[in-house]
Amino acid sequence: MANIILPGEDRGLNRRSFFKVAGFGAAAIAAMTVAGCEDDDNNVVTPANTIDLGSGNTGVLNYAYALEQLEAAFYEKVVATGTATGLSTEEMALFTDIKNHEVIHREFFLKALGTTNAKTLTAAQVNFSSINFNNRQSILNTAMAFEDLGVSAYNGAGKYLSDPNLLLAAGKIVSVEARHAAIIRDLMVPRSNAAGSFAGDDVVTVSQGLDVVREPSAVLAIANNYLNVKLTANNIK
Amino acid sequence: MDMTKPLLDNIEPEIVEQLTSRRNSLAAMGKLGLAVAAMGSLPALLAATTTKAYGSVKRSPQAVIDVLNYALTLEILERDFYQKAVSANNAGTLNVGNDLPVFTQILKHEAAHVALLQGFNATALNLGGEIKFDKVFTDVFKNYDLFKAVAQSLEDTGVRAYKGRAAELINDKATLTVALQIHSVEARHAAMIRRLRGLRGWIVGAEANGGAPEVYGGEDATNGNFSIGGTAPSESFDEPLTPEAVVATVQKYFVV
Repeated sequence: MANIILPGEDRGLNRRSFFKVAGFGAAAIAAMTVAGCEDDDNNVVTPANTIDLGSGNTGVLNYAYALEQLEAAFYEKVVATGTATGLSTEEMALFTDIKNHEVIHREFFLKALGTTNAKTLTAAQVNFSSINFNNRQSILNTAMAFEDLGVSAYNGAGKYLSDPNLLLAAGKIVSVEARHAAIIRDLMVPRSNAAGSFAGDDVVTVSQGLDVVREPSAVLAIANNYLNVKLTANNIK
Repeated sequence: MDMTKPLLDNIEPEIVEQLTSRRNSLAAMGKLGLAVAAMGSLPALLAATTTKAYGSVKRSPQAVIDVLNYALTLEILERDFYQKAVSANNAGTLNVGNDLPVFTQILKHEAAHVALLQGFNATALNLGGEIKFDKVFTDVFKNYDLFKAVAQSLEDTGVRAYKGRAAELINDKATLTVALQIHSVEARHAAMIRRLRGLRGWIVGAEANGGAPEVYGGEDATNGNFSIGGTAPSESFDEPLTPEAVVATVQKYFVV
């Protein structure tokens, strides 16, 4: 858990911005601190233990950032657990690669958002109690779930981006998540076309060959199982 | 190339300037025999190029159709490639052994993609000749190792091709979403074929590992500085390819 970035922590990374993102600042901060002031049909005040990810391009960036933080934290813990995981040497090498990628994705989005607008999760907010890190199957199943979840999230969120540069950035990442998903699945159901295999019928539709896609609310319903806070994205639309 | 002149006369001078390099590449494509009729599409491709130069995309049904035609062209290529491979395996001239389910699954997807895109009324681009998969890779349907290398290149190309044009669909949410859902499937395919070859599922630097080198140019981009170095940054991002680059590569290796 030590690698989770704490709020306000500055990693001293180069803040070169490689694409223009407009319209940040007060609005993003207001979205985080003001509850229940959006167009809310039933005027429910957002509970204190809820974090709304915001709206527009910033909201989508924070959405992606949240998922990458969760994935990175998971893989960091797998790698830190080491041989007790029961993973083979080859499998641990793959998990280390994946961990590196997710950490880099996490840093990418943090830089894109900037420390002011980034909704960084704390170590205490992450909850992996349902995962048995000393059990290879539990780890593989969770990894598969996270990767397929990530693919479905990016596929479903692309349409909410209005900046083509951000869409390209998301595109550069989602295909890597899909590669992860394929590899992890192949560890469990190798060289196969059965459900659970690299691109099985459980994730790719038979009639159209389309990968999983989910709306933010569906993704977060799953992701929130691994958090002590509730993330919402009702304003990403 | 007279077709281009009136079109460019109608575009602001600043845009014409930015298009100069694009014009050269399109002229080169003309020399390679791309039928203007199929590129009816040529004005549309220029239009898409124009908007790309400015980073904003026109809300244009033709622009969307253009991307879909391009996608269909590549999907047909992939479908036919795998169809030939499975046939060769069944005939005993190619031996994919226990990996057959991987390729029948991939073939199923590519065929589904073709049907899906044709359902959107996409039509394949004329690539300027006939497709001959063994034009350069003579033993592609005889030598399993070679077949896998070519398959990997084809899948990685598909991923980069979709990625290179997804932004053009930004104003058509439904089509964009479908494109993304195809794109990630191609990435699953690519990773799996790499694994069959004993490689990692992700692209390390710009190494082609025996695949077509043109497919991997620029893949070593790191997209920033991170706390983890080595090859990890380049692996973490897959890069786009322009349609010009994709078409040129396809023509080089597969078109006679």
